[in-house]
Amino acid sequence: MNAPTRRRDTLGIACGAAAAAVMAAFVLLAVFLLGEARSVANPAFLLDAPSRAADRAGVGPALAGTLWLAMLTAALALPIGIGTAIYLEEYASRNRLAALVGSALAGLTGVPSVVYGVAGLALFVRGLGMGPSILAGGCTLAVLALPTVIVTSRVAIRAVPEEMRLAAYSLGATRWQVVRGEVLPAAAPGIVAGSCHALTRTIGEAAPLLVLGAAAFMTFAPHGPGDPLTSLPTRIFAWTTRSEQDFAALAAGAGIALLLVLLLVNLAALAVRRRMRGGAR
Amino acid sequence: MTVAGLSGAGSRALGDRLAGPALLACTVVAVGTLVAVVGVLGVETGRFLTQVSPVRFVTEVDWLPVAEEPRFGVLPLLAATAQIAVGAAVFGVPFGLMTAIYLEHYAGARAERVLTAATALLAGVPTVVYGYFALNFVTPAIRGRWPGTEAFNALSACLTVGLMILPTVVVLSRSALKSVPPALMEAGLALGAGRGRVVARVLVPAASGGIVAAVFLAMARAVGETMIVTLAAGNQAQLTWSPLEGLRTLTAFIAQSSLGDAPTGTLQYGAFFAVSAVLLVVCWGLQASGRFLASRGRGATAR
Amino acid sequence: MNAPSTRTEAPPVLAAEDLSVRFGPKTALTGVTLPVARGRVVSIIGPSASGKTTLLRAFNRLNELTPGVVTTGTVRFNGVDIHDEGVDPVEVRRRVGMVFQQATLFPKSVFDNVAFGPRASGYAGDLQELAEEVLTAVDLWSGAAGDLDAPALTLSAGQQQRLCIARTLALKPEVLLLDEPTSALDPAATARIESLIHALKRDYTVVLATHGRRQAARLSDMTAYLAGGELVEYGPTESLFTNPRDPRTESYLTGRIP
Repeated sequence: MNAPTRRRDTLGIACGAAAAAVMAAFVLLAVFLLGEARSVANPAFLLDAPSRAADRAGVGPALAGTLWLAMLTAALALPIGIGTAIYLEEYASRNRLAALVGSALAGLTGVPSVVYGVAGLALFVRGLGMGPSILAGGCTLAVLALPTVIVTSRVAIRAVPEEMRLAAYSLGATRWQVVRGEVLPAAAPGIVAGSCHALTRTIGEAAPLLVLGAAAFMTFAPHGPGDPLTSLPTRIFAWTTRSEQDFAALAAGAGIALLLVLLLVNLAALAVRRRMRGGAR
Repeated sequence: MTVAGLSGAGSRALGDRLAGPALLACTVVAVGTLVAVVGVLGVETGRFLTQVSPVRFVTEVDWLPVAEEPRFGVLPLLAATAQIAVGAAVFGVPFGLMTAIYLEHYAGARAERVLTAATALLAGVPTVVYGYFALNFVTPAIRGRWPGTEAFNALSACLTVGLMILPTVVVLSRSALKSVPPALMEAGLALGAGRGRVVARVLVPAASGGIVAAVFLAMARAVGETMIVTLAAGNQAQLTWSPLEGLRTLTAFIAQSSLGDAPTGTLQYGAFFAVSAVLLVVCWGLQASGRFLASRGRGATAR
Repeated sequence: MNAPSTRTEAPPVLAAEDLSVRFGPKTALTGVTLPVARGRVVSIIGPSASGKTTLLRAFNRLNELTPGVVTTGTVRFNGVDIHDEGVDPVEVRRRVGMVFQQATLFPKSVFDNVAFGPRASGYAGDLQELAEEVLTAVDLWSGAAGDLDAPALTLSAGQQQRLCIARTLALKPEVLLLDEPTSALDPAATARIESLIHALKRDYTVVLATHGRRQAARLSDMTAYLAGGELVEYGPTESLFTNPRDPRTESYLTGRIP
């Protein structure tokens, strides 16, 4: 099929126009954000604390909070989630209970994030007495990420050809040797991609943290999980709700900072996948 | 040779003896936590509904949780959520579906790469950033066109949520289009039909099950979307059909009410759980219907 | 069903006794009794889906990895019921090696593939030496696989299958189960595998499932004909091929059953 006949018909032109509109919306969003954030484009913005005076405000504490939350979420959700995926795929017997757990987990991936916030408030902030802390935020985000980590890891593990397992078993490997030596290395790129997806989605969440009671105004950077909850997404929210124009620029700058953090996580995941592919030979 | 010769227990490494129990422990923790999430919602909702009659909860038209005589009629919130979800679908689905068709059947290699990257990036933007965009770009644009528009209005939220769900629609409907056997296209072209005709009359209908599922899943995401509606649509819990007025969705109620302050056990506190439960039911309903319609659609194509 | 052979044999190294296997509602094997004498090559022939693969996988307890499998009857290895409570399936698989229809190499180097089994069982000897020994046995030592660090998946299809055999030999098993090892290969590669099987006869007991009637005739001492999960006939290869006792065997051998 050659190119000219492909594009000439009406449907093609209409769909091309729609695609162009989507592209335009994307460019508009990017250009608008960057343009608005122009005035805060300096390194001090990333380190300074927020201030009532817009020209001296920065995202330092919020950035530190988001990094803490990202680490906690990864440390909690990834081992538990990937471990659960391995158990369900390689160890559990395929009975009704396993099927039920599987479909319940799939259903939980679609639960709105704000609902996890409400549950996190009852379970972690109040129930376990963590208060509105970084720790409570990390636990809540980990629970939010968990179903996605499990479901994507299971898909990656299931994609490993059954012959590979049989070959390893037939060579006298034990279950763990098969899983550790063959299944996990083969599934690793998919598991890393899924974990990265789950993690970046979660780090950008504002709603559940607002529900937990994220500090609206925090002038020092959190030093540990016990410090009050603050994060970039909730900072963006707080600044966006201020009507003064100067604060809008701050919100845009914080948005760019958040996107940079997400970019870094993606690049890290990419680097891990590269190294794995190198090591697989 | 004896049984002992084949018992081999001594050769079992430590990893093998620890792995099973450790992985089982992970599963128990994960499943336990998720059960606790659903459980706490259920328990608190149940407690709330013993104090506020379920009938009044779903039929009253006033949502005044902090008034002196609080009223808990969830309808205005539910209607607002429906309005936003449908509005977002009105904007997001046609553009998303047509982009998917373009990508699958018309785009050259370069256009495909660029567009796929752009949709992936759009999918990665946190919703609070979309909310910022809605309030500071979309709303001023709307008010420039219709000066009577309220500062917080449904239209801005619908447009922006539509943009937010667009990647979901593109990716899912594209994979539905991909699953149609290419032989159908060849058969259609061989019968002398133009490409556009084959796509519109044969391929899209054949993928309709998956496309419907994509629309339902995208709407479920719109229902659960919180930050855009909180920032752009305002907080008036009212029943209105005007897209130029403000409204308050289920999610916006939860996010806006700084519920960290509501003491445990109060009606206000219970209301958050009841509203969360409603959200959960709506989202699961949409997902389940999407899956059901998708499976029916597939059956129809197979026949 | 026939008695194995009129010749007096040593007690069988491997034996299925009234073995039945089903996967969920689907029956794969019914009441199969088949003793395999030490040092022999036994062929299992039969149409597709006649239960050849299931029977082979019953000999090293590989079927139990498939969900929903139910096995009844007995499989004895050196007289021991391999389903006995004290028996570790991992140990059974180390002593009863298996090669599959498709070469299923791991995406690793030639050496890592050969070393996989010995490493899994904690082999204490020199892996390098072992690799040379088994690669020489399958005639790969001087060829393309002489480069031990080469990725295994770059070898030709025939070489890959021979590497699979070498990988299994590295376990020093007593029995080799070969599941249609040549069905994915061209005639030249098939011929090399066949001469390899011929050579392996000296040191191993071989159970060979095959589609090729002539392959069975060329290679094996004993032949079993399976159809629909039942053992129709089992006897010395020569008499089974020249003078089948069951009319079903005859119609299969004459090609009336594909």
